[in-house]
Amino acid sequence: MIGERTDGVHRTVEAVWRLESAKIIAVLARTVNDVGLAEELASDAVVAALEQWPVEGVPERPAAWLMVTAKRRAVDRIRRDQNLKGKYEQVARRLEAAGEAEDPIAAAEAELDDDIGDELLRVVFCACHPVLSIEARAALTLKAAAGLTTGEIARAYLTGESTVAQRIVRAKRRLAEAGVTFEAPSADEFGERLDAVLEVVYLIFNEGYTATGGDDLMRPQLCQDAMRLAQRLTVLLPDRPEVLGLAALLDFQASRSRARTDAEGEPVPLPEQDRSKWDGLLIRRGQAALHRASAWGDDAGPYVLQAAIAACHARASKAEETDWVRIAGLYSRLLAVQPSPVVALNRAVAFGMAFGPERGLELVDEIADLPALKDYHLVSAVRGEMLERMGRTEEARNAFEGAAAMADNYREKGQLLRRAGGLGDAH
Amino acid sequence: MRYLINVVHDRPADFEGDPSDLHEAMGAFVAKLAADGILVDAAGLEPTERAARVDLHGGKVKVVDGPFAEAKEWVGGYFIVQCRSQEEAVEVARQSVELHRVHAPGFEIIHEVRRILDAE
Repeated sequence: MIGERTDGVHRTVEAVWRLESAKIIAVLARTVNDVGLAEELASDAVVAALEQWPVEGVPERPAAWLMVTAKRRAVDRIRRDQNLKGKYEQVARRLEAAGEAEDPIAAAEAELDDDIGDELLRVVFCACHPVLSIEARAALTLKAAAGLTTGEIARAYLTGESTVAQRIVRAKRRLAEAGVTFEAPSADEFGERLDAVLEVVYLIFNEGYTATGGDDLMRPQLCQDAMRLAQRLTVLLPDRPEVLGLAALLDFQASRSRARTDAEGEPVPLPEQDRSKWDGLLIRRGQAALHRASAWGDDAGPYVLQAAIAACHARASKAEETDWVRIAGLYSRLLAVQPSPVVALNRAVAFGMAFGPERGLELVDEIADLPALKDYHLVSAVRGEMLERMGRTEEARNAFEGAAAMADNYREKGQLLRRAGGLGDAH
Repeated sequence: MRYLINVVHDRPADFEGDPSDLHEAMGAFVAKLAADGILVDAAGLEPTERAARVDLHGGKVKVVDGPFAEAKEWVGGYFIVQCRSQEEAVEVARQSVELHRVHAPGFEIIHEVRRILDAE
């Protein structure tokens, strides 16, 4: 019984932490001018909550309690730790003075209610700093800006807790060595730094999105963590179309998660998905974000364009109603801003759907010999598709068989062989 | 996981204090949920004067127009939030109830936290 109660309180601590930690860390980081240290100080407060709340009950204002406790613990830690003492003595004195306020809880609550958007942004920019590896950026972002514990990050990335803990420690050290302080990027590097942030959020989403099977819900939940980060960024940077584009793109992709695999876990291609399983609420939220992004003009970036393509699919209540001409045009624009072989291949598919398989085949053949696509099974699969629609059955079968031979994933291999088989025997 | 939080109270809002205070506080709260990235949808609902109900009772389908005099309580609005856990949704509900306690003294209100079933 006691165990159950403790467990319940632990989950409440986690819940409050998840909702409030980013703000607590942001306020602390402003105080100590260091995200890494702020994150550690905030974690101390969680340890205190886990000790005290099961005994004393959940405080009336849990977030403010964590804030006040984090500051008290910060003072203790600065006084105790010789390395911190010199550098942060003044900070400790300031925090101590604040702690002696008449109603520290009310003061902390006011602090958390203040507009700390700028600080929240800085946390994300530091966590996604280019001096860090991509893995380190993702881990530190999830820890400092999304309220995940080290254990949760480890489970989500199918790795050990100590590996993640080390990764985070090293990331903080790297930030310190590189002299990264708690500052917003300067105006001329802002765009590049923002791209890095958006990339990290998108990678976190994809890490969860590509996870299929398994009983552990942590991986799919990464999608939600990424969506949360993206939503928060749209509020912090309301006039950045690419931020809105990313948020919209994630909403559209997530809206299909219930329809994209069948009961056996086999992937269901977009045209065959049961569209009634698409999530209308997420589609609506995505459309609203995309609409706001479009209001900023024609020079759309890759996320806005990808979201616009996803929106075309979302708008079609049946696969036959898909506006492929529009999608083809959007892919041409996407290829111009993000010239990649995979985008070029998708563009060929769209042109094939919009203007007939001859046009699609022409475009596939133009890019098929690119080094990046030489061993890519989907090139052959797309060729097969176009050839089949043109009635060139034997060539289509060869293409599907060639694609199957190159595919790594056994499910995809099986699907491609079935398609080849459906076109009759070779002789 | 997604949760529907139904805001339930008995009869129209009746409390001491300025309704625009509560209105403003709730507006800020919804903005905060959006800024935290967990809001999927939220709205208030019209009073039941103009509502209708379609009932199935004893094998008979009947349309009943509002207001529903016999109803003990009614839903005044809702939130849909995307959360990691039920505790997190409960914390959102608690914060909203707390705002009602502060800005609408005397107002009795229930926030019902219900997980939305889906295949996640």
